[in-house]
Amino acid sequence: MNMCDLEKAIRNWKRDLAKNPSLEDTYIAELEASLRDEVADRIRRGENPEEAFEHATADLGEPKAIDAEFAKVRSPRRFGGALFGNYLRVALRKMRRQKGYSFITIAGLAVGLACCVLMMLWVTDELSYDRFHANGNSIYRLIAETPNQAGTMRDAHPATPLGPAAKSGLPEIQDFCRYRTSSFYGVKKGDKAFLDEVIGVADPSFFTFFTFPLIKGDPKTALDGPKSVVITETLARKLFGEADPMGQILTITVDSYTVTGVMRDVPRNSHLRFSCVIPMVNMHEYHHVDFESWNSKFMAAYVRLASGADPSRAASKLSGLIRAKLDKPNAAIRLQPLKDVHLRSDFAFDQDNVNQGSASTLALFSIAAAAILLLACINFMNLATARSANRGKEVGLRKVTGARGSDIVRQFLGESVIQALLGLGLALLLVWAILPLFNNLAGKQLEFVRLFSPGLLAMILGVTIVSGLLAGSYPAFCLASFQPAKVLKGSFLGGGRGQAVLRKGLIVFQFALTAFFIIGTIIVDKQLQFIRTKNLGVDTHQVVSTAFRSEAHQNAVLADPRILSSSWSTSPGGELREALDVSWNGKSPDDHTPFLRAAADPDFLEVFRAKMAEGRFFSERMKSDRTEAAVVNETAARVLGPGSPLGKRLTITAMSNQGRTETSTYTVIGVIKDFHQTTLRQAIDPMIFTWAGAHGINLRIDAAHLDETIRFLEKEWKSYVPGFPFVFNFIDDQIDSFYKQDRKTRAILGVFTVLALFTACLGLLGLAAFIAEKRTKEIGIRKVLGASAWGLVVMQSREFLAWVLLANVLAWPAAYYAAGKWLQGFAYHASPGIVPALLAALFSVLVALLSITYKALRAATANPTESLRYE
Amino acid sequence: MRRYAMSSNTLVAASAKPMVLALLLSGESYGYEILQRVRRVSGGELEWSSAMLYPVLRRMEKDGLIHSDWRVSEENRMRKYYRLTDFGRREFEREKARWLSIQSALRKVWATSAAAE
Repeated sequence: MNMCDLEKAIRNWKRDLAKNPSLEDTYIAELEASLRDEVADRIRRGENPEEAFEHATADLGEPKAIDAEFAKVRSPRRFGGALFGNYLRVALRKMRRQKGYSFITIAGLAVGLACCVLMMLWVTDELSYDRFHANGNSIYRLIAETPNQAGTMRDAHPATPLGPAAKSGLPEIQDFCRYRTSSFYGVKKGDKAFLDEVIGVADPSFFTFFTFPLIKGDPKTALDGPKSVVITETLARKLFGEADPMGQILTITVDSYTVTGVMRDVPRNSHLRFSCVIPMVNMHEYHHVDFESWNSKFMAAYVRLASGADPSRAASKLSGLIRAKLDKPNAAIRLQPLKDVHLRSDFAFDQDNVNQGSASTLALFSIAAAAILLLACINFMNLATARSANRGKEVGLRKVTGARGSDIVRQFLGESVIQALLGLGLALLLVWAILPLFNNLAGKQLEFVRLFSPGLLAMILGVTIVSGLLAGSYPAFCLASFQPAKVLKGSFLGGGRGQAVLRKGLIVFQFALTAFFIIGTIIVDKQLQFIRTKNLGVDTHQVVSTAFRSEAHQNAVLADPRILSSSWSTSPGGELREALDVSWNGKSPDDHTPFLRAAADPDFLEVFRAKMAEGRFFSERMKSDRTEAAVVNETAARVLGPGSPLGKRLTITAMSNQGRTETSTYTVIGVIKDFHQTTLRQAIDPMIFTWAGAHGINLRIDAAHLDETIRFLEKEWKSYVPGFPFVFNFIDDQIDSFYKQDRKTRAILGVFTVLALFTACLGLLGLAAFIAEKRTKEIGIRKVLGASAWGLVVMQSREFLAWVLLANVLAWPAAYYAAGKWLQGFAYHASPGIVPALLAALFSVLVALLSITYKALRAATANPTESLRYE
Repeated sequence: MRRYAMSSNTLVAASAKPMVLALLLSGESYGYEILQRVRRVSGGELEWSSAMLYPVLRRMEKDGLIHSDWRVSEENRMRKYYRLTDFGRREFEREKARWLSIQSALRKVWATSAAAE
């Protein structure tokens, strides 16, 4: 054996050692030093190299035995602290050396993770709604369904007697409870008055049906007395301080109620929100409503199914019941699971369902957050593979010293997981900083500390580790497959053609995703703009709806010159009930078109600046108009048949405000031009106006004195209705509130777009820097040969811009398809046009240019002598 | 693992720490040299293996008794040199006291047993 063979033997011996899990590189190095000393000693004593090596290795013992000895001191084991510590050290060292790239990967991951963490926080909060009820899984809300021409009308208030009838008639229904918030105002005790408290009106079974625990009082009997009230802890403290509230008398509106129970405050994640509950019999007294009438729809109704009962069977039985009672063959009842009420409700008359969420919005944003995390992972992959040239040598060396492919994979995956964990740290900071802003946008009260609940924390760590593994997977396997000989010879630089194509592909994918977001945001914005500027057919600006509590109050207000006009009428934007039946001469028996019932006095036209299409509106001069005349809108006129509807006799059966059924016959005296009564999501419904029946007053206010007029109205209210909150509404606001969810969507989508763009640009910046570095020499030569700095910047940017443009083109079909789907939800919508696509292209190119140019310019303006000395 | 001559494994393992402390008291040393010195001072009685020594050194370093650094030796080879820390010096004194007291106790017991025979 010569010296060369000896070296080879030592290398083989080391490779054998490296196969043992406990023998880390540094142990092997020390054992090698010891072996070499021993071999040198033995050679000095006269042994030949071969003998010396054999004896020395025999003295050291079998690799497995050595491993067993080292295993004793090595704690904890593989993938435990020591290894983790090693990866952490290596990872931190790499980061220190490559601050720019590390910033790009970690900041990108942090942004992606922050989005995901926020979404998880939001989603878990939304999903927690109404889960606290003990019998929650067997509780369902009853939704009345009536098919009409446009689809199905779904009403959150079914026929009032349905609940009790179901309990007594159907074995599947174990119990029921009806609920609504009342229009009673103000809770008072002595000189303390609280005017904004929400008062719930419910069946006496409320506290046994739902799980709202009572601190004092008996849930079974608390609401038995007609004038009993159960109040929340907070209201109790406000009214009575530390004194015992039980048995105390308080005033709601003008009636006295006895406190029969104190309950814990309603949890934040409840779709029902109230500060006290009174028995529903009081509503009957106050409004004289007829709870026995099957045409009355005053309350939300909940049922609890008997154990083992099939919800769909129960629903069909309930539908059968309602069909028989209403004599409507197409009426139906749907059972909505309690846990779906918060997220999956899109029903008329659902005002008691407070702070509704939207499952589809939630899904959309969860996907968006995951997409941004994916963008960040792609950045990681792209930069890691691009820079693999630099790490190739390290990998080559490790492989030469005996590391196996799996060791390399483990090391790189470990490093990327560590970077992801560092990213998570940064992400948590980010979330902490932006949570207040997010709460504001989403209309939530998410708390940062909730992140640390075990379930959520485990989920967050899971996502982080998975994204670390995902981001590290490709680079790890790619690096592990390097041929050490090639790498060390220097013939390898920054991956082959295949990798370059993949890198470009990933960049294109990133920008396609970004373009998708941009186009989506612009189209949503365009639609909201369309809604804002669309001529609704009526002018609701500077019109307020309010109430008068007395003749004197009314006279005092209307006498003021700043009130330009006033009308007792239902207002555009208000929810209207449809007539139970409308018939006329020549109506087809198969025609079940529903007509909305609206009320208006002659001043409606002036206040809302509506126009007539044909005939005339109500007139003070015509006495019979009050009781016998009807005005229809253009849509209704079309339903009534060809030719002019003027003079047609309509027999209308409708539910009165008291829940009684009334039938009257009217003559059509005019056709009012169509206007949008509700949201632009819905097509204009056929409407019939009659004079009588309006109980709201709408005031058109002088635009020049808006604020002072509102102050005047409030002052008058306080002097005529002391002790009650001033009730007033801008009709504009009411109409605007239809689109609250859409505005939220736009705002959050905007944030996601910015983040996506930021992440994608980070990736581009990193890649541009890498390529500029790789082309340093080329750029130097070009400069020496006379290329201008500007020409060099163009040369470097051209390729990137082509990718970004390609990405945009690819994104267009998907973005337009998704936006089209969303716009389909509106009966009236803006046409998206080509502008959003062009804007997205322009914007992404501009931002991409900005991120590339900096690096390109630096490379182009560098001193050529330095660039030529590079490498 | 190799033979420990006449000594029982446990005893050798137990004496490894005080032995290393004592050897490093006179100055820094590296693994192979420590092995040689142990053999010399024990007159060949104790023959430690590398597989036994390095884990012991590792543990002692972890415990803060010794400190190490890689340097190039005079023979132009990389070696890891170990030296005592202050804590190691104090620990040496404590170990020495413990072993002396065991030794004196054993001597007394053996003296009495010899007399009884």
